[in-house]
Amino acid sequence: MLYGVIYVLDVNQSLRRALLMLSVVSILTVCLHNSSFAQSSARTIPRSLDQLTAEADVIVHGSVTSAKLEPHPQLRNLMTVVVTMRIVETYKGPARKTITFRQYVWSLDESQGATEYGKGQELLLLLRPVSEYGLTSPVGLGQGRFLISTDRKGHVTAVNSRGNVGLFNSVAQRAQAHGLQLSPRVLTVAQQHRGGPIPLTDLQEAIRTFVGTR
Amino acid sequence: MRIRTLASAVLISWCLGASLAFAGGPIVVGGPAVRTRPAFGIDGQAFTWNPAKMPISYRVDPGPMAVNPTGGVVIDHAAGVQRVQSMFAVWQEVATASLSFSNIGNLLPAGSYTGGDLTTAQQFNDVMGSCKAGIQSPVIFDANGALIASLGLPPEVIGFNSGCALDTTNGFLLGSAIVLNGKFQDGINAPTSSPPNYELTATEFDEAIIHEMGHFSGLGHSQINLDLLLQSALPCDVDSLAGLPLMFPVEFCQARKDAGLPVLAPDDVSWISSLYPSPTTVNNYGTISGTVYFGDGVTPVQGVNVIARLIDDPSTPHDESRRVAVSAVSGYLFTGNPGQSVTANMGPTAENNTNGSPAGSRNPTLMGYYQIAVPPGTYTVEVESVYSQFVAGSSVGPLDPPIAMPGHPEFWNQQESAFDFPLQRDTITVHAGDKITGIDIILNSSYPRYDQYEDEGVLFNIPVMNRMLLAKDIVA
Repeated sequence: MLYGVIYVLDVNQSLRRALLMLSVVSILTVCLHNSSFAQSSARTIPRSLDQLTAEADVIVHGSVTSAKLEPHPQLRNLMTVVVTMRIVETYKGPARKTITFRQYVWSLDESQGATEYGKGQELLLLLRPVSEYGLTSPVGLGQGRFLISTDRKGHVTAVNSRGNVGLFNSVAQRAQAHGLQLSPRVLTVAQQHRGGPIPLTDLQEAIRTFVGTR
Repeated sequence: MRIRTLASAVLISWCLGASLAFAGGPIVVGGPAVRTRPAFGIDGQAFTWNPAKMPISYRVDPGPMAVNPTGGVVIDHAAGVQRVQSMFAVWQEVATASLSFSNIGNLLPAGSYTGGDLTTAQQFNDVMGSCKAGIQSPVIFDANGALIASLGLPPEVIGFNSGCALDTTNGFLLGSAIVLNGKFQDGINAPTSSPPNYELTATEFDEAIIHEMGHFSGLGHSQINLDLLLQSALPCDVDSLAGLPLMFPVEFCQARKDAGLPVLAPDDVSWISSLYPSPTTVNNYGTISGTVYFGDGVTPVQGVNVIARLIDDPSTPHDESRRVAVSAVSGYLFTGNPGQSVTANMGPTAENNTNGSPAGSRNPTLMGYYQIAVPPGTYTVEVESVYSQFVAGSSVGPLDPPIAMPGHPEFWNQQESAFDFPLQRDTITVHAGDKITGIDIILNSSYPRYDQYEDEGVLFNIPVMNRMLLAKDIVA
């Protein structure tokens, strides 16, 4: 539609090019922009998967069905995002079909523009206990939020905000110290993984092991 | 005027309908008036604190900075204030930048907060309300981490910055808040306790907060030496750490100071100097600028990370190419969201993106444009993707989520084309005060641009190689 408009305009070449450039960005934005909400900058220390798992109150795998930005009902100066997910599997906490939680958003940009909870996103979330104000967030912030995606070869992988860097640091040693038996597959991942997306099945198996439900 | 400014600030704090531009460089960029929406700051210019009103004023929580679980004071208020001052001083002491900070006293009362140690979420809420009104910029000591916990945030959070208010008429920052998690400084390291109680050295803690003070000052994130993160070889190589911006989105290396390095990397110093230039800036920096293009050579690309690296000096034991590097994201002054009206009536109100983001210019000449201020020297210029996991609070540049850069990382060379060798590079010598323009980079890509079937006539002008690649795609 936009291009059609451009081509019937009787304008000089440079203006036409400028308009085209603008329209390209507009089209790209249609593709890229979604109804998601910004989390803002915070410095965090890195945690390994066993530590994240231990700290989590709820661990679920599912997809975001809605993410709504609204002020906290009591703390009206604090913006929050209310996220609802359809749950595929629960690894820790009561089994459920859906989960809704509220997370504090402290960014200058309180509304759109980020992707933490884009509608339709498939996530594996490790959530902290809910506070007295009904607020929670992933353990380690982005460290406990794994985005699930499928690559061109059909491999389903998971990656957190640190690119999974440090996710398995000293995990094998701590497991051994606690008498926890890691499967050969998890042990291999724990010993060899340095960073980057990991197969979802490996992440799931590791989490089940740490939770003690394997 | 003051009332109008405050009204603008309050309005923008509450009613932003779309994303602000988080750039490698400035954290927010002004945009023009769009239809009935007024201009957002100054079109294409970074929001900064008003340079005519230095120092930047902040107020400090009157409570202690850190207490242990039994309530014993570990770092008292006076020592905490001193720490905060010394952290702000890291930015203030940049010789080529003209910004300063001043502690103007304790937090002002607001609502349920009537003074004294700020400890509850309700008090925090009320103080944030005054911050959003541009009344005060609070530095809050969460001495035992209880505030952070009641906000539902994990104990791994060392601290955070929350921008509060903007003067959208003049393009200035008006209010910002910083929260420090004193639990990291309580002298107890019990990471396996429930909840965990982590500990950092004073140096590590301070560098995390100085990062937040960078945001407080108007800086966004920068990406340089990303391989350090991806390779995860700790402790980090010192040459690479030297070039790793303090404003890198995540913290993972040893503290810079502990490695014998200045707290700020060259990229940090460059950007704070660009945002707050001093009379000496021009004597210490030159600029390299250009536009990043798709393979068609005419369509600018947004969101590509551009890095200028000093070439290595073989006579020194250091690798200067890793140590001295400054980055910018292509199109960092242009909006990351120009808007569209297609779905405006199809979904919830939140999906109405008719006018897009108020932030960032709509000037087409700024699409794909970058400008990097570098100390005098000889540089190469390279491009790469912003790391795909740098989203939301970790975002770098105007696009969130970032796009995968079409083609592979490559260097700039004088015969830029869509089919050059990625490692082919030419150098650029920069003297103080130089403004080197036209360092344009054409990405190596078989796709002229994303909308490959819209050619604007360029299909007939592109190099033979690219046409062949296109033909391959069409056949496929």
